[in-house]
Amino acid sequence: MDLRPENFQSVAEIEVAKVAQRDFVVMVAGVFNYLCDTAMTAYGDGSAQDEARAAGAQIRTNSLNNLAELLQEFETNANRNGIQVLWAADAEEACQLVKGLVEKHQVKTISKGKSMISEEIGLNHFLEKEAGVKIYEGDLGEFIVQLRGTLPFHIVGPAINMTVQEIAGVLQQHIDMPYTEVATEIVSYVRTYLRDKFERADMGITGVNQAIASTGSLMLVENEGNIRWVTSAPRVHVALMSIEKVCANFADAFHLLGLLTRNCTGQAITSYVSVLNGPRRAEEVDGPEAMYVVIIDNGRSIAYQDPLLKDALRCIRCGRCGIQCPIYLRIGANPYGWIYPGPIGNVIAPVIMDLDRTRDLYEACTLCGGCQSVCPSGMSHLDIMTHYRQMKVKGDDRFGGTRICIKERSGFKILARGMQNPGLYKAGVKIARRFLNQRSQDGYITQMPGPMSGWFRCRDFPEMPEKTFRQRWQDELQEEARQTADRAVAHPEAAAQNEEG
Amino acid sequence: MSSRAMILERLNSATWTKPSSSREVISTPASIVSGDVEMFVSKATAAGAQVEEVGSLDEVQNRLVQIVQEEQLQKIVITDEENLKEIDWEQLSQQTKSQVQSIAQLPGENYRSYVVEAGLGVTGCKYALAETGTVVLEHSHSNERLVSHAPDHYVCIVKRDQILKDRYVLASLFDSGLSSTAWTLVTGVSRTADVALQVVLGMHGPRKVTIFVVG
Ligand code: SF4
Repeated sequence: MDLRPENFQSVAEIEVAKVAQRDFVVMVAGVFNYLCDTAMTAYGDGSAQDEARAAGAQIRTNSLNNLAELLQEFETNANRNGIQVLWAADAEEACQLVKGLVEKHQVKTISKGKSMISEEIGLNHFLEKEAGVKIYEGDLGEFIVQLRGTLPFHIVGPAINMTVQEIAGVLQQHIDMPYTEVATEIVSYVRTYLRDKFERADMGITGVNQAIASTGSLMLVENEGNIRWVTSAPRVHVALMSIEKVCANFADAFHLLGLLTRNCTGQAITSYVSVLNGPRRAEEVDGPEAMYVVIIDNGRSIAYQDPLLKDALRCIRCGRCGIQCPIYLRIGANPYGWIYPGPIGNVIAPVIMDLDRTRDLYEACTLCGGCQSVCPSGMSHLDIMTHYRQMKVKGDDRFGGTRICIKERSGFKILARGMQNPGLYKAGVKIARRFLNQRSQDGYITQMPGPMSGWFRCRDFPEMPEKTFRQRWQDELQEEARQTADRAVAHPEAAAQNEEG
Repeated sequence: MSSRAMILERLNSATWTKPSSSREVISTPASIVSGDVEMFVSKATAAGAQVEEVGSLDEVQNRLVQIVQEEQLQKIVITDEENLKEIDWEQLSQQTKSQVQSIAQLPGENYRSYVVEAGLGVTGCKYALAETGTVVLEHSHSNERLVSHAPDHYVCIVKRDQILKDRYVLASLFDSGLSSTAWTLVTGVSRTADVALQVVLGMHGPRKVTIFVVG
């Protein structure tokens, strides 16, 4: 399967037929939704939870409103702590910067903590090819996905769609694990296998959950303990962060931490939260001798200039919106064709790729609003996605959106005119009913010739009823009036009493 | 133009109206749980740690002897923190016929090879959080990071008066200044659910965590 956002429709057709996968994912989502809802009750009742989410949204608003200032404050304080801060305009520059560090520090092997931004810039592939280094993902799910060579299924659980048998098969094939379907044995084998890599790695690469401007610190969150190894054992630590991952102080960072973990895995806090303030000191042994932070833009600063799209940068990557999304739960991650699946992919991908390539992502959304009802960072997914649709219709140079074609534009113009005029609308409905229902099979229209064929390729439409809602409503009113009149004729006294009453 | 300058220039030239105040101070919800020792014990236990309340460090020493004997541990690594110095490690070593090394006695390269072989790591902590049953470790040359992470069994000694109410209290302490190179908040045992959602303890960190609450 060629997984790219451009192939959304064809891949979705394949994925939606995988009933067992779908049932499993829906079950997993149910479990996580329950855990997350329960964890949120730590804040109190519904309104207290809303307040906690609103505080999270306000923190993100403050960070975005002061982004340039906070990034510079972070840089100054990080430098003071001995952390070198590098800036990358795009994925290519970020990869080149890391390659430069690999060469400078004569790195042969790298251990990695789970990092979405490193996936976004394609760092593993680049370094293995261009710098000849060996890279080991430390997070179990990410490690399995790395060995298998597929996209992560979910931003928090990269291999959560795989059965135990599939996981065992991958590990047996790639790292010679004796086949077992016992989860504890699988974990134990990988623990021993990766422990050796952690101890020997020259460089550790991680993402960043929050960069704290006031102290120049990094906050990293995990359950497995791979990040602790990756930031403690190697000689060099490189942390990658996108420009929006900064907040003012620890009060903000710790509040976001609570919302993140409760909406991610349903935990009040994860097993480990690391706060890193710089490389090790002369008398220390653990920790890196050199520490770098690479601040990566990759299209975000252009989105930032748009008053609505800047909100796409609110996300703290909890993944909660994914397990609310009826589309994602039915088609899984593959159709999105990129590392951010589900609602967050719909919102982020267009600003990083372009509006044309990602069109199916933001257009596949039903705008049900499940995602934004749970988002702890105040993201307005629906406003952003409808904004993308408008931008796509009008064309937008900044985000590579070519204006929709003349046929489509004319179609929408005619539709808009019809919707504004009741007479035209009625006439249009009549014609459409005849035209559509001729092609109906078992109550559904599943294909259509001509310009509408594309729309029906991945959708179907119920047959139009013989009468519109308005007609049925009028018929019912008339029927009611007729029955009242009949009763009045049959029982004139009762009718008179009713009228008096 | 450098990438830094270009990024900052774009951020600064955004035309949407930003509030004139440089940064609003927002009020996070008031403390979400009131904490005490009992709460710390119950939360840490729920996170997978074994928690024991003891009267003194002598009791800790006795329990450590039992643990080392029961688990037949050969190598123990301890940090160089003040509250650990009150335990008679030499006596413990003799009683259990195990090797106990403080990181203060281990030069760099020996420390690393010793810590990855040790079956038990013992540290104190700077604070603990009742809200989540978390121990807060301040790392330095006297509390190296891997002592609490590499061994299969990790023991943390917490004094009752080190237990703070919640993360917001810790945040205010952090916001008033951090001098150490690293801190770790440890809550229970390392875990994963990446194999078909089955929770397995002991992924990359200790498989077992014991916390002694002293005092
Ligand atoms: S958009 Fe909101 S709900 Fe979705 S991952 Fe980001 S923070 Fe979580």
